Amino acid sequence: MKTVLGRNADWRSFQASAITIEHDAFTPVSGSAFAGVEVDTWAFIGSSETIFTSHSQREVYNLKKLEERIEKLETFCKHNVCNIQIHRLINFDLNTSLNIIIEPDGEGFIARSPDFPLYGYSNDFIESIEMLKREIESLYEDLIENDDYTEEWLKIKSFLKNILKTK
Amino acid sequence: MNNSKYKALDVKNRCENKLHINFKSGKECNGWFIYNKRKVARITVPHGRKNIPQKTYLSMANQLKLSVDDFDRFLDCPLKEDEYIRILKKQISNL
Repeated sequence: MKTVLGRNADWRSFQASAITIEHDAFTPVSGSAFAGVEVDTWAFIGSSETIFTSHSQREVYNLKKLEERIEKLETFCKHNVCNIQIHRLINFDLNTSLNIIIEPDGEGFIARSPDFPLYGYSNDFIESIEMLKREIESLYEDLIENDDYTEEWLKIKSFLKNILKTK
Repeated sequence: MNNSKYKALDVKNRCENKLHINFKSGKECNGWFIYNKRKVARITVPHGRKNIPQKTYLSMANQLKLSVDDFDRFLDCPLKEDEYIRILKKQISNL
């Protein structure tokens, strides 16, 4: 399998079962245990290109075409600010999607959420999103320990409690 | 912006030495600034030995609730913990 975004070793850990591509001609592949990959993103590339994945509409699409599309997305993000919505974290699902902004930063990418003072940085586009997801989960783990936080963090704690649900 | 002057490890060391932040080890390197037994600011320092890219540098400044100029001063050393607390008090009521 071709390495995509340096994530080749992790493809299977993506639990590739749910990909929906909106406004596109991706062909569903049926009868295959591993034919797609879940990218959890809703990305706007310019005005016409959209990647949308949703676990509420579980379908499996051709992996090669998805690889091409993710590569396009990565190339776009190397020079532009990219808006993405995530629908789940690593260990949690989300009751509501979170907006993520990905920008080129030095030799890599920085993923940020307008909802929290957090970021994820990596040389790899997808990895930067993963790092941010880990950050959100790590923050949540910190916050649920006790209430020894300023008001700002207690509000974030309340927000996270409302949107996170165990997978 | 002094991002080209410093590496992530420098930021981590300044936070540990000047603000007594304890960083978690592991995949995420983050820690809390605690004042009056309350957690006030949380900073994440990227792994790696390279210089810090601009937006990451800005994000770390924001996490400490500092302007870029103050973050520069924090890393250069003139900005010490007492001044840092004064800056936080201007931003956070009831601190």
